[in-house]
Amino acid sequence: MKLRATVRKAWEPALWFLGLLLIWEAAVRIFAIPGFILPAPSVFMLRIVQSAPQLAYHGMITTKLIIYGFVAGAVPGVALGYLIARYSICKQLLYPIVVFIQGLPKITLAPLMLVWFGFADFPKILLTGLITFFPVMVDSVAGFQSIDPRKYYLSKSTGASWLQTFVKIELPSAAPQIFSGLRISIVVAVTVVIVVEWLNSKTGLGYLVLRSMDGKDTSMIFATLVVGSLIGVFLSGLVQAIERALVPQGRH
Amino acid sequence: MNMKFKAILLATAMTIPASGAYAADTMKMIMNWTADSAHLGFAVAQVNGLYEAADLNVELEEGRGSAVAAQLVATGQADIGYADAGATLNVASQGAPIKIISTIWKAGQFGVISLKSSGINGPADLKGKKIAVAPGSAQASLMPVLLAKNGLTEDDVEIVSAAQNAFLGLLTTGGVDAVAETPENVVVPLKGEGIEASNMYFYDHGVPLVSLSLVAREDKLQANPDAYKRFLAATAEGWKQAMADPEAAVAALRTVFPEVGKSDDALIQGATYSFASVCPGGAGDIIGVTDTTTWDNIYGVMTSAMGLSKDKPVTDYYSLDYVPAEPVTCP
Repeated sequence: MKLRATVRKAWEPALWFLGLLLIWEAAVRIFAIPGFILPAPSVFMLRIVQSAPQLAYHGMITTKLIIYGFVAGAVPGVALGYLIARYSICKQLLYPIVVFIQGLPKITLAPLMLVWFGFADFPKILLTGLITFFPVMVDSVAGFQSIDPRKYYLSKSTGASWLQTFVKIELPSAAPQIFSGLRISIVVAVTVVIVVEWLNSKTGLGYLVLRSMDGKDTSMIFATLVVGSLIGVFLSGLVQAIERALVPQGRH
Repeated sequence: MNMKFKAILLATAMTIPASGAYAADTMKMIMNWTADSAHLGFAVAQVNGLYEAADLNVELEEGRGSAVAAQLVATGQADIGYADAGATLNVASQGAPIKIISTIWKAGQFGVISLKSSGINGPADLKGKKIAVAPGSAQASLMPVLLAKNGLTEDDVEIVSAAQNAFLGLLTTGGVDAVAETPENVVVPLKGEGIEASNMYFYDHGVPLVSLSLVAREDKLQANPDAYKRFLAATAEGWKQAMADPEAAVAALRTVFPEVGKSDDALIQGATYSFASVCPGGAGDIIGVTDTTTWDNIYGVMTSAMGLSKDKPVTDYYSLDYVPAEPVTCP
């Protein structure tokens, strides 16, 4: 019964998705919509196969940037979340600045960053880090603030050091909320990297979308976006797998 | 390589100090956008070895807009920029120490494009029509000038903002009557779909603006003027050779930029428009050179209708000191 439920859980969304694609395919054919306005799914799926080496090359570059940008946002996000949760002075000083920075439409800085830093990876990683940082930080604050105070009494009574307390008590207790932020951030990172590449890159899926737009190659635009989505699904699954491995189920 | 071009390069090379004669000068050129038919001459100069023969090691880098290209030159991250003259003058007027040293698209390709069936044949036909313009584009600045020069006001038409990538869809679905764009980006792809479109150039209707030009920083020009002279001579020859053999020029573009997405047919058709902009005067027109009278006219339009400051004279924005002494002419 459990196996049947698992298979059903996996196949149900896939069947819904397939149904949607079939409706799309039929609509394009029935209404004879030109390919440069909206390509049929069969057309851009075929394009994925035909352009597999090109998509794989640029997809790898994008994936690398997503991971770098995600780490660049997640690590400071957890660290700052801890400081804000544990020390009220940090909350008073840092939180307003963080919220102010979060309120800025940072993506609009991409063209300026191109002028400042050229086509290097640094501005792309920086922008991705700045945008993915906030969800991780907010959830980390919630996680560190929700630790049962009795655990600190226990830690003190055993004479545990700060590092031991952090590693053995605080981090595991806050982990479910931290992973909640990470799950959001990894998906956001995919979008951010592709948009930043579109604005400011010579490689990657975003650059491929730009090239396809210039060439009015609509099927390639969709093929590239599908590959971007698949990367997002894969990385999101990876974060969930790491969560399952590190966080005991009972803590969810 | 023809004998005349060899003679130009030899004469230019003889002016190089002995100490620099053996090391090729490295020059990075940032382009206005991703590679297409606007860049054929540079690709030909690269692939046919014209830059190498001129003792130059040239790197052609795709860009993200004319203003960004001009700023990258101003900040010293590129030695040469290929940027729209209007955007360059705007950057320069804000204190950037840059100058236009050669005008490649001497007539801008910007125009108002409509479907043949719309009946728009001249500026007067635009009255009452809906026109899509991309916000922040050069065309957005030029549209009011075009209307004013042809006895219309912005109230006579309905201008709507839209992304350039939406123009094909907007035109074909009747969302707008016309779009302000280059024919290469609208007329050519529509033709590929079997749809005929008409184009009216801003240039032919009272807005005589040069477009894509070569831009350099003043201190770099002073530090190594010969390298820039050799670059301009090789580039002009590159465009001449591109015009002589467009198919080979498209192949050269694909060699330098393998990711070019447009089909060969689209690039060849785009080349027709591009070459017309390089040589608006036809055979015998000098490649890369706009005379002082035309510059004065352009300055008049930009200061009167496009908000360019009159603080500096037009001669501060351009220089004819680096174009080849022996003119390279259009075939």
